[in-house]
Amino acid sequence: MKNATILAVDDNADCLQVVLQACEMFGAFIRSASSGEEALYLLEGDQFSLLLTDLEMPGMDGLQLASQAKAIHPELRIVMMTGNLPPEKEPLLSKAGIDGVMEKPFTLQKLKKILGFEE
Amino acid sequence: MNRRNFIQILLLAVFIGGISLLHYFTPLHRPMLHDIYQRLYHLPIILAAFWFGLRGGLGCALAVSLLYIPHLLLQWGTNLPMDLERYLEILLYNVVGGVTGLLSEREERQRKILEESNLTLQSQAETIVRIEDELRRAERLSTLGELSAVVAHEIRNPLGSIQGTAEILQDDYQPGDKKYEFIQILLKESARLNRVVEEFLRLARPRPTAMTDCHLMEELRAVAILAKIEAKNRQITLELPKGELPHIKGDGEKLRQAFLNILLNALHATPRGGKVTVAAEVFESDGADGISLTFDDTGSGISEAVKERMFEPFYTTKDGGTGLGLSVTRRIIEAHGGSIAVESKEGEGTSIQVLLPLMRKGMEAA
Repeated sequence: MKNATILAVDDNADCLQVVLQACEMFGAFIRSASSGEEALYLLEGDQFSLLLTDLEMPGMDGLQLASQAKAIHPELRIVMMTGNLPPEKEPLLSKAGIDGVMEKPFTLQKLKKILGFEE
Repeated sequence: MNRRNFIQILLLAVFIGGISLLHYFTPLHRPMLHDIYQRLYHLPIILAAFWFGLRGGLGCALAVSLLYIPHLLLQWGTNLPMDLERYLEILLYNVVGGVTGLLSEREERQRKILEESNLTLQSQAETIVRIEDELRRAERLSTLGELSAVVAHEIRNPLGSIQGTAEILQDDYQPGDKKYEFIQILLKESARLNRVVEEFLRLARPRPTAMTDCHLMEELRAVAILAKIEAKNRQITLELPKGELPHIKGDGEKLRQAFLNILLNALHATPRGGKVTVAAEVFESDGADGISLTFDDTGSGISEAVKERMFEPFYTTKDGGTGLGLSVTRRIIEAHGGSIAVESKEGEGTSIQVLLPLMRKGMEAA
């Protein structure tokens, strides 16, 4: 997992910055996108091992991005980051092929664990 | 026969007996006195009719007639013109007894109808007030539901950035460094903010209750382990019910949360050296068996004004309280078909009673 590339997607630049910085600290290769559309463009061009995406974004949201990303790379692991997960949306997550959820605010420890960098 | 009826009957008997004795022992050459006694008989008859209705009136008139006739026959003999008036008086006794009895019964019936309609009106008024209260609560909760999405997104996202940033910065300092301590403050305070948001979300959009077979005593014990630490810190005795309790259909996790909220409130309200007692009792009444859990404390008690509002969301009397604990608790208990009630005396303590319905025989089989 250590040399795998992660794609982080969030419309909130600050959140994205924190995730990028944290991943660099863990020694992960990471690229970022600020929207679902941008993320799809990157996914079509390159190989990623993990997609870390926000749920609520203007335009394409996390769920739409996840199902389209799975269509391109069925083996891609997808983790959803969200501050707002209404109970009625929970069943939709596994349907969209999402492997894990991290509720914001999350600790770096949790991020490390979900990315597979925990010693 | 109750005491009041007994006294009334005794009074009537004394009244009639007294008048009859006066009739029998007053010499016949004082007819004026006899005329007075004869009319006095009407009083017990009317009283009996008022007190006991038609049956009372007629019964009393009959008794008077039976007591009076021997006096007429044996003492006055047959003096027809004089007697006719007396015999007519006997008829009159019975007419007065019957008519007064009928009228008083009719009045009694109307009084009862009025009383009943008054009671119906009262209960309808209470229902209206209750429904209004429920509507207000529902309205508040639906506003809460809408608010929750905004709160969740607009507060937790930046909270995530703050917490992450603080954690990244923390890496550059060693414990003991002044700046390390400041970063700890950032982390501690953002965790506190997140707790408030989480409690708010729990209230605004509760997870659907998962009803399974639930071992109530186990849940209480699990909560007690946490509460005992707090009790020990505050030097408060915590007493739990002994023995076992029947299972109920419920969501163990949610019930634990409800019990913990109640217990912590009780502990926070109780001064050092005080006592918090949890008692459990199975109550059986036809069709509504249940378990009653009582949480008593020897704290400062709750004023009437606080008691009225203590289950409202965001109402708190504690420093740093979110005002959501008890309103979440009530929601959980009500989702289990139960109820929660408070009794409190200022200066003596508070008692919170939780009633939970018991698994019915049919439900156990299901």
